[in-house]
Amino acid sequence: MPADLEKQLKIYLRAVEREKKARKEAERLLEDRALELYRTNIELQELNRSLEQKVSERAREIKKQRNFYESILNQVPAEIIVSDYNHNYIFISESAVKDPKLREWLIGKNDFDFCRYRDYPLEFAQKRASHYQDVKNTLQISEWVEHNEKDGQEYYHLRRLVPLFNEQEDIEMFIGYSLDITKSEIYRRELVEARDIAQKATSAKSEFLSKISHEIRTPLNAIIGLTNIMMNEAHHPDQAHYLQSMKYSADSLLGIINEVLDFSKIEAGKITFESIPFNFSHLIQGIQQSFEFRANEIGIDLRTKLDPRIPRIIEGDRVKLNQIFLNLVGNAMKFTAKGEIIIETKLLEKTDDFLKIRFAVHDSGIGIAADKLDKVFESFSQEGDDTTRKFGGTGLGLTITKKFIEGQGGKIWVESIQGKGSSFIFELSFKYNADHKENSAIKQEWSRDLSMVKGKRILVAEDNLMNQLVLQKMLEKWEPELEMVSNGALALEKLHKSSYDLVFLDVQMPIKDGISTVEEWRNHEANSLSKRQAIVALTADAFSESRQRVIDAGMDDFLSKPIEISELRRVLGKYLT
Amino acid sequence: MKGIVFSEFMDLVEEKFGLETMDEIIESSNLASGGSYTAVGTYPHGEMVTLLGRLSEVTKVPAEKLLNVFGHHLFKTFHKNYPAFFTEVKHPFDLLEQIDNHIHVEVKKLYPDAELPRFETTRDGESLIMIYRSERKMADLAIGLIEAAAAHYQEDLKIETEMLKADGSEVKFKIS
Repeated sequence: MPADLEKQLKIYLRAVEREKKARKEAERLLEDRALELYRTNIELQELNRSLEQKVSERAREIKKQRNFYESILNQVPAEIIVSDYNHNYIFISESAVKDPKLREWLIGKNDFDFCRYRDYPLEFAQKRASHYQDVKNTLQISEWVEHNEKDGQEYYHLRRLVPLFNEQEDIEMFIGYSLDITKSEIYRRELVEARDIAQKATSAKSEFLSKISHEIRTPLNAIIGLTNIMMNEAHHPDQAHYLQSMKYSADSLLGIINEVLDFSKIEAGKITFESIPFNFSHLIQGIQQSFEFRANEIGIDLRTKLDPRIPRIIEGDRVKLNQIFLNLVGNAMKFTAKGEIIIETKLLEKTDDFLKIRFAVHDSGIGIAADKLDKVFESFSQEGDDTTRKFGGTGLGLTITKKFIEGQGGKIWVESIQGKGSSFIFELSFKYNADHKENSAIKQEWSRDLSMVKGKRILVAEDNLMNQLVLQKMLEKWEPELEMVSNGALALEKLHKSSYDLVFLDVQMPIKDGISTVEEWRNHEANSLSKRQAIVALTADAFSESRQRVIDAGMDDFLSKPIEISELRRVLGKYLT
Repeated sequence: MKGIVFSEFMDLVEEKFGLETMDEIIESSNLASGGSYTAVGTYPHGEMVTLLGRLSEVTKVPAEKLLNVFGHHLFKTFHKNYPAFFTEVKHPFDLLEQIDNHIHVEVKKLYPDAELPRFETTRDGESLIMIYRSERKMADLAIGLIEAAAAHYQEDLKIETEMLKADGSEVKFKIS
């Protein structure tokens, strides 16, 4: 063999040898890898087994927990369900669906599936779906009461559907729960019925009180009116004294009846308030004058302490404010034997068209015990049971006063030291017009000269003969030409025949009442284009809504009975001079 | 050092210089492994240094040049054997950026004992800055690989090198 070839051969042989060695090395490495793979595989199997064990342990634990919570939920006396966004049930409590098979079947299904499965009307599922939609639209809890009848018995369920939100604040699930409120619903209905019966009974009583008071007022008006007239005509001092006492008693009786009437109005929620300009200082003067005689009699000093910053003319409910004062000052008189009573006013706030006044009635009377202070404004309540016996009164005055004040947005309270005296303090707001000059309507009517009334033609329609007499006697001194009729039909007859300077129409009359009379006459005036006849209503009903009613009917003004002489002067002055 | 580097090196030597040269450098190198290499084995890095030195002596080609050529060769092998790393790549920069945080991560999973060079990359406008770090000090092999990648994607790229450490264990490439 040539040396060259041999060298080549050796190179190849060495290469082959290296390849062989490399192959063996590779095989060994592969064997190692295979072994490693095998061990890894076994390890993996082991890991898998322990993982499976852990998973099943965890699953058992979850199931245990689930059972724990479900058993709690099942103990709650409510039907509970949880559903996903598409209204498919995720959880149903045992109380919601008692049949375990149905319960299991329903998981993952919705109300429509249930209706089809149970052959229920689909309307049931549609109603439920609309509640779901409500929650989706409003993102709020939906609550409703379902009424069912089963085996002739009624059932009420309060159902609530509550949205559960995910982190993005989107609805993820719903919790629905339902409470059987049949019993409480029945109780509620019974309570409502009982309440209605009680309310009816109370309102029947109030109505009776109102009617009876009204019936008492009519003859009383006559007594007061005639007493007034007799007092002017009395010649014997003893008679004058008796008449004075008679008038005082009759006034007290009227006060009591008015209180009962006011109270029944308040109870019936029929109280309304006026806002009419009036002379504030005259009102206070009037109050003082009303009580001066009595104050002098018992020897106490009745004084006023008035804030000069309060405008003379303010706007509000004059009649109610007057009544409030009559009540508070009347009370103070009752419980004060010596010393003084002070009526105080103070301006608290004033803007361009609004003002707030604090009023106070201070007395140096017997005072009120600290523990009774909060009771004095309650109905039918007086400080002690013997108070009524000693001092009289209905126990309604302060209740009415409080309602009058609170009804106008004000407040009242009392400060008192037993044995030293009491202060009843109240605050009320009024409107006022800064540019308001005293207009003619509120001018001091009683200062007017009424000599013009002489010979003026006045027609009075009044069915009650006593009241006819009272009005006749009151008008007599100005010497008008007076004609009396006893109902609206007769009044219309007279009106058609001749004209009058002033007509008084009683509101309540037989045959034709004052309201329909005035309505008829106003129609006639409109049709015949005749001049407007001045007509003033007479009524025993002093409430403002009656006043509005008669003005709306076509009356020009309003006199409430018993007729106050000052009011009569005002009306005569307004229409006859 | 992973066996694939040796076996591929041997293939390259045989292909470019013939079996005789290969035999000569192995026989004269006195190697522990005896010069028989399998791609799945692991061999001392020193053997590669010796083989490379011997090849350079025998062929009179500078070692740097040999490494560069080897880089070109290795790129082809990688591309053929591991196509998965190339499918999504559209530009050589994308490939180079993936070495450290993707390719070598996968290599480590398969060969936990592999000691791999680090390639830290940052983009600098149109160029890519790449810092090579390896105790093997074979930056020339890396350059060969980069050139091959550029050629593969038909990109005309220029590589500027800057020695960050004199011994060649840290080299900065600016590729643009």
